[in-house]
Amino acid sequence: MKADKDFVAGRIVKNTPDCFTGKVVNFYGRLTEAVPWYLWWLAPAFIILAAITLYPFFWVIYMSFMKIQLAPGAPNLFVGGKNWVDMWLDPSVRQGWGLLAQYVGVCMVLEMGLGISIALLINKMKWYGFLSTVFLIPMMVAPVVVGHLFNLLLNSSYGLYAWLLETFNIYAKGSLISNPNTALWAIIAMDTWEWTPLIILIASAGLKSVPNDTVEAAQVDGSNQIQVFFNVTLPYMTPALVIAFLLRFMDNMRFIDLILITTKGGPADATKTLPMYLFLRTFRQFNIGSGAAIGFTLLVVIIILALIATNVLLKEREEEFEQG
Amino acid sequence: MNRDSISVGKVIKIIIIALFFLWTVVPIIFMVSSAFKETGDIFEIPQPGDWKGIFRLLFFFKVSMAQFYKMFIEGKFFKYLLNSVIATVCSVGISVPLGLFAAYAMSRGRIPGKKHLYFWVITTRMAPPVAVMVPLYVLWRTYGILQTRIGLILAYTTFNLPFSIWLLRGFMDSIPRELEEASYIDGGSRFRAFFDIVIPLIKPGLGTTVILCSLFSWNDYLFALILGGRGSETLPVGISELESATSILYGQIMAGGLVMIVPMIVLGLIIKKYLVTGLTMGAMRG
Repeated sequence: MKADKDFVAGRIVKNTPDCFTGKVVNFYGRLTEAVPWYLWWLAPAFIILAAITLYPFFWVIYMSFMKIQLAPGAPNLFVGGKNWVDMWLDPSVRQGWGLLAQYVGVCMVLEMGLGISIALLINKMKWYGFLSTVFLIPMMVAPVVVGHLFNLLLNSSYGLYAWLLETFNIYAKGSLISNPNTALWAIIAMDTWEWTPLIILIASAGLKSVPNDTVEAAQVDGSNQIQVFFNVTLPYMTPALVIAFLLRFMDNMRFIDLILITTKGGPADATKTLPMYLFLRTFRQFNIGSGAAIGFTLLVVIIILALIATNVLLKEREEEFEQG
Repeated sequence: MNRDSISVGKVIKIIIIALFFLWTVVPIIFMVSSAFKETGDIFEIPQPGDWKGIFRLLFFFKVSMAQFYKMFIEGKFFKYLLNSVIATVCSVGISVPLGLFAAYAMSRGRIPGKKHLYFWVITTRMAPPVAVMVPLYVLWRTYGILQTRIGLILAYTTFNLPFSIWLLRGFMDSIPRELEEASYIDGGSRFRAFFDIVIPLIKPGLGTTVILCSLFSWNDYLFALILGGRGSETLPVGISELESATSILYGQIMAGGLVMIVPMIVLGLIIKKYLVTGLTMGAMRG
């Protein structure tokens, strides 16, 4: 058995010499002299990345000036800026931006606020290890499952949360999800449930980077807890918090899984945020050109906002990074 | 006086933590208990105010494997599971190694216009999936990989590759160059330095990247829904198909959800120590 293996291994080595002998290495050597080394390292990733992202990018711009015909063989028509003008005049787009701002804004405030507070509370607690392990779970649940889970929890006839709301006499008029006044808030609650733990974990990591000496020195100087928090703890946590903020902000702006599973933009358009409207426009009304214009605008706005956020919040770090 | 106020503060603190703990855990317990019930039992809820009934509903119920049986034996969940595993493993298998090389070059090379290149990499991850779905659909149709696993793997690579470059570059930046330079002086090549010095040092970062990339593709719904179609349904698509116009099979959905989170939690626990420090340390530099 062993001999067999050796024999096979030997044969493989004997039969595949060319890859590693003189010619090839020299050829490689000559190439590496002509081309900077990093191109070889970058090439595989960037060729794939370019192939699968550049084309869609330009295609979106192209489509936004066309009327896309769905019938096979029918040529696409150039319509100039019509899709763009339509986008500006479309009240649904305006409403979509408003809802998106409300959704993202409330989610970010809730998640960051809760996340930082809980992180401060459980930091240095005896149970920290256990709690942080439990808090890992929600963010591992797929949004599809979260949507269905809360659909069931809030279901007016057999949901646990509907039962709780009824028991405490808070709300007993059916599911929160099917009421236009509360639907968006229900989705915000789901998002908060799923992602506050991520903020807690990242904020805790940030808290661990705060040196104890500095905190003690500030306390000796007579600062109270609130002053210590704002002058000492928070600055140390900022970089970690910026990462948490950016990750959540970008994903909240982009993803519609939760809305798609729970309300599909309803009831009465109460949850038709811009990406959701984009989905309906593209995949339900099949107005692909118009969807492209909206999608491109959304992408540009996300990039600009993310840039502003990084630059404002991480200004000093950026400079340090560029020097280094 | 002083001692009293401290203990009151402590009590409030514990109450807040307990409330948040319940808020986090109750849905999970509800999901797990629903997954192990007969379909009829899932929809039995006590009268408002009947707390004992709620405890029975969450903890003391008749355990049944009916939902798992329906999904895996009668349904096609083994196929979905296989599709999910293949798509996730292959996409991570492509993205992370390529990302490693690219991140190393981005970190060490004196590349002209590096900032702009890096910016482009990050923006590819910011694109709203809905916006790029149509062009990807058209592109995939041209290549003939629509509704195949290969198509899905490539689709996941569109967001995993930039993400792994982003994260890994942060880790590489945090390693001092001097270590590699010592290796060059000893006559080693760049590859040697990379494999012998850099890779062992960024192991926590590598673990974090692998987990997060797996999580994103494993939980993805939209790409699998539009580009996957009939040929390569993944678990999220399979789960969402349990909802039809007339009925929602909540039992199977909960069981499916359970099947989906178990591997992710296991992975998460294995590298928990590095997960968050990895995330913050890696991304902070970018």
